[in-house]
Amino acid sequence: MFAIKKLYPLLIFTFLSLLLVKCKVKKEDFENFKLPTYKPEWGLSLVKSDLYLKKFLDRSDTKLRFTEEDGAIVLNYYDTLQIFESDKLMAFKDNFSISQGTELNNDFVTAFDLLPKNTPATLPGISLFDTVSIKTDAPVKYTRLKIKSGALSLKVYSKMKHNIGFTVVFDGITKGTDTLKRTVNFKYNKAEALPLVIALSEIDLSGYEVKPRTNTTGIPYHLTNFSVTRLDNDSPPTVNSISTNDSLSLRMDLKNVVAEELDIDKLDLTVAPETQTDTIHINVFDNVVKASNVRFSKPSIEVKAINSMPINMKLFVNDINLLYPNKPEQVLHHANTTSGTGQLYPANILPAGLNDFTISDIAVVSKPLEGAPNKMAVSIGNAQLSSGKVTIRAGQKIKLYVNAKLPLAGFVTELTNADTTIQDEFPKNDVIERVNISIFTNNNYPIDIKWKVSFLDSSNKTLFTIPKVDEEPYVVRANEQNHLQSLTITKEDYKTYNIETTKKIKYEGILNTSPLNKDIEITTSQFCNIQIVGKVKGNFDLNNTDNNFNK
Amino acid sequence: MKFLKLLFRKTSLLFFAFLFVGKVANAQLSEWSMYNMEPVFQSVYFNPAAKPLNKLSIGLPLISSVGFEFKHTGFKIGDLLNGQLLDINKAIGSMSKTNFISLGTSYDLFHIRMKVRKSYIGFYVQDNINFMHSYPKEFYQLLWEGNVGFQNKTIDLKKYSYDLNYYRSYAFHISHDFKKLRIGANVKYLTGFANLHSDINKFDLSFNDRFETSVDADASIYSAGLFPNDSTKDFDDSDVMEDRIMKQQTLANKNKGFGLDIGATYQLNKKWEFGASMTNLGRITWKEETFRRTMNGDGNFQGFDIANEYLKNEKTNEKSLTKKIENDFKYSTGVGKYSTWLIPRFALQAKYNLSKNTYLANNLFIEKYKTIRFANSLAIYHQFGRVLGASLNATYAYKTINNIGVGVYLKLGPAQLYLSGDNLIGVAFRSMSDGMEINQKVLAPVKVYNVRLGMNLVFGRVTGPSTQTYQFK
Repeated sequence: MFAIKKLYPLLIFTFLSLLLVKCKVKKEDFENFKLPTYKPEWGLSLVKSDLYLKKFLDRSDTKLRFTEEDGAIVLNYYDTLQIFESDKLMAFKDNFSISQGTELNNDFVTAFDLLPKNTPATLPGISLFDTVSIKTDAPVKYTRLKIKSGALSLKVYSKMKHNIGFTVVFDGITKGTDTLKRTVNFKYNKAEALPLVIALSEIDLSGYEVKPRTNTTGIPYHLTNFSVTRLDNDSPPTVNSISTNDSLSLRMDLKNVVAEELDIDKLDLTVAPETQTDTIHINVFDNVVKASNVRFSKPSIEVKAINSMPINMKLFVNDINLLYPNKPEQVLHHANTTSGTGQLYPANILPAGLNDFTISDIAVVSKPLEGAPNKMAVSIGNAQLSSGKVTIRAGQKIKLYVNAKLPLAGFVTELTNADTTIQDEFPKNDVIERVNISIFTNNNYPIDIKWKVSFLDSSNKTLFTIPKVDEEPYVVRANEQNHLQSLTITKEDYKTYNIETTKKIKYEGILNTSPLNKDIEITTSQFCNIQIVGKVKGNFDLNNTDNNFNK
Repeated sequence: MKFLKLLFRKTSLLFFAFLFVGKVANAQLSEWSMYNMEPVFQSVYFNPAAKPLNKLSIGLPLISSVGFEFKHTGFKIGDLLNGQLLDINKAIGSMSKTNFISLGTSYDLFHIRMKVRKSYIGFYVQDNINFMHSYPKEFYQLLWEGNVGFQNKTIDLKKYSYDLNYYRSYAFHISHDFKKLRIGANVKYLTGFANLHSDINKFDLSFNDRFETSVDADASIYSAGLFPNDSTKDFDDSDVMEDRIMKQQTLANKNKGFGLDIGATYQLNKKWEFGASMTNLGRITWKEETFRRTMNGDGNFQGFDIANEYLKNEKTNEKSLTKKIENDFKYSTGVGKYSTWLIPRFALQAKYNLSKNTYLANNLFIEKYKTIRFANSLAIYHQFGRVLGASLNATYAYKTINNIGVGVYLKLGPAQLYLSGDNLIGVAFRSMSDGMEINQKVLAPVKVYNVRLGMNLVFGRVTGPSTQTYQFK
């Protein structure tokens, strides 16, 4: 017994050890496992959008703004048409140049002949007078021209074989009390070919005033302060003498002259506007209502003019037309329809004020915006400018401001709005058990909205539509709240219509005012929200991951 | 008694402080059966106040102690394995609200413990490697079932995490007898070799009744010693990992930390004895090859806004949508030190001596990894003569009660062979009744399985007055 008692601890340890060691793993119980079918059901809010027309129209477009008038949304298209600007009267061609020659007169030749040879001398009291013509591009006679900036370069030519110096004085070009003048000195070395040429440094004309001789366009100048040395090379006399045929001449080049002021005694000019027909792009209609039937019941167009020139102008707005992509243009206004409308008689003193020029006869046009115009054309005739003695300054303009106001009041018929989302991948046919789609809508517009969702393949071919082709359209009535439309795409539908090849989903809303063709008003508080929720039940065989897992 | 009150007060503070520590990552194996294996040196890892039978214990590298643990609080093996079918539906159905799975191993490199008067002092070196993954049931429910069942619900993924750790403990052990009171402590110097863990402060995934989806996230992934210390590179290049980990295994390693285990037993009378321990307190500061990637922000997808797209002339597709969602979050990548706490464990023991060789014990274990979990173990220990001691325990943990564990040691001369494990007996007996096979039926109820075995060299028998039941007189 004692021996057994001594041994039993060892026996117990051995038993436990054997128990643990002898256990064998049944490998087949832990091999070749199969995964169950993976059948998840995922829900996703596919679309959630609030359709506030206000938001729709509030774009960063300087030509389009919207305003509210009594809660109603009013589209405002603005455009500015340039009719005339004073700069056209003050324009000079770049690098205007003129060569002006002055022949010596008898007094000069006689005094010269009396001078001793090779002795410097002056010819006091002798001057040579002439004029140079500086014209603006426009056929306007000015009595004074003030130059803002520009330069004059001067080359002086001498056909005398003697040393001669003189001063060119531009009597008609002054700055304050100073008259523009330059002095030149020719030295003849007995071998040079004539004429001798001296190029003076460029003269900055900023601030100079130019005054032509009265009733002419000629700017007076003269040569004076002659100092000469009669050279001893008169033999034979015919070679080296002077006569009244000899000359001193100048070449003047004006560069980049910009005028600041122009005094005119009288103006009577007919000018063509920069563009006789200008168009205002009504861009909101480009996508919204193309090819649909829309009517705006209370459109108006306002034209205002600003004349900052001290010149009377007579201007005709010939007509204002709406242009349509798919139908003939429609005349909103024609000058002939209302006698006298469209003539501008601005003030002839500065500053000119704002001149209202409101077109008021558009009521004669029936349904002016029906059919989605995309442009408005304003056609303008030649402007007649007239004035008495006046000073014109740079930057003065005559402009027309056109404001087309389109209150969103009217009706729509089958107006289609559509947007497309791109789907890179769509679940494969054999892993889809079913798809549930729920469309929630709150419609606060006085407009019926027909919904349509189309599944398109890569070539935009429609594979499947919601509602199905043979089903009634889903219509959310005007002012209907909490509208819910549900449908199920079955596994069979999914396969039949090959929805797995979908690449795009097109969402369309088709709008009709309710009741049909009755004018309604769109206000800022109206909106529509839509939410499309999808639930997809899948069915994946995870044991065949090569084929199924990526689906 | 004053000392006891002070000790109780201090330890209570520690206990509650660690319960609320958020960033815990480093685990030590939690072996309930080893708690009762006091004659074996390795029991001091779980109860530093464990009283040995021998004056000197020496552990040689690798052979003295090797432990392995598998633990899954979510579902039993039998919930998942159903013949050849992996029954994912049943497995998910069996999960608790928050679960974790862990795999770990620890092994001793060396230990020595000797008796000095009324004290025992020792030194040991131990390596720990473990991987833990915590997850809320709803995460896998969502993946498997889809989100249709989550209408108007928010899935809180704060407790979703991954933790991978490899560290070494250099520990000094001391225990001392004060008449009826015995206290012990292990003071550990820790050096970390590798760490990878997620830290999710917030990750809410919500679906409303129309499946509009929103995410509110503030989450980071940290690593140390695994990837290049280069914020421009991503987590990759697994070949490099092993080399890097090996390089970290020196004392010059800058990933340093400290740990503490404390325990006490008090013999009320000849029949009753009470004990408590707190182990695995401490943290490691990771400095070597650290890498952090953080994501925070909130994003949502309510559906394509077709009206706005139309206005802006945009065309959204999956790629642009994904980009948009990505852009809702801020991402940052960085390097720099960070700290991880050890997973604290607490044990309370009430022991009743049936005889001088036998006692009954009830052990209550508490641990916190993402959430606090309890386990309660009923154990019986018997000392068979001078050479064999064995304990048998049944533990209720993670909603299972059939965790039958065993601990046994055999002393042959100076060699002390031992074997201990939770669920060891349960699996072994079911296997025995099934033709000594380890098959699905045998493993079906298992959520926890661990085993520790080894051979220590022990010398000298403790012969002084003893309060322990199984002490030889």
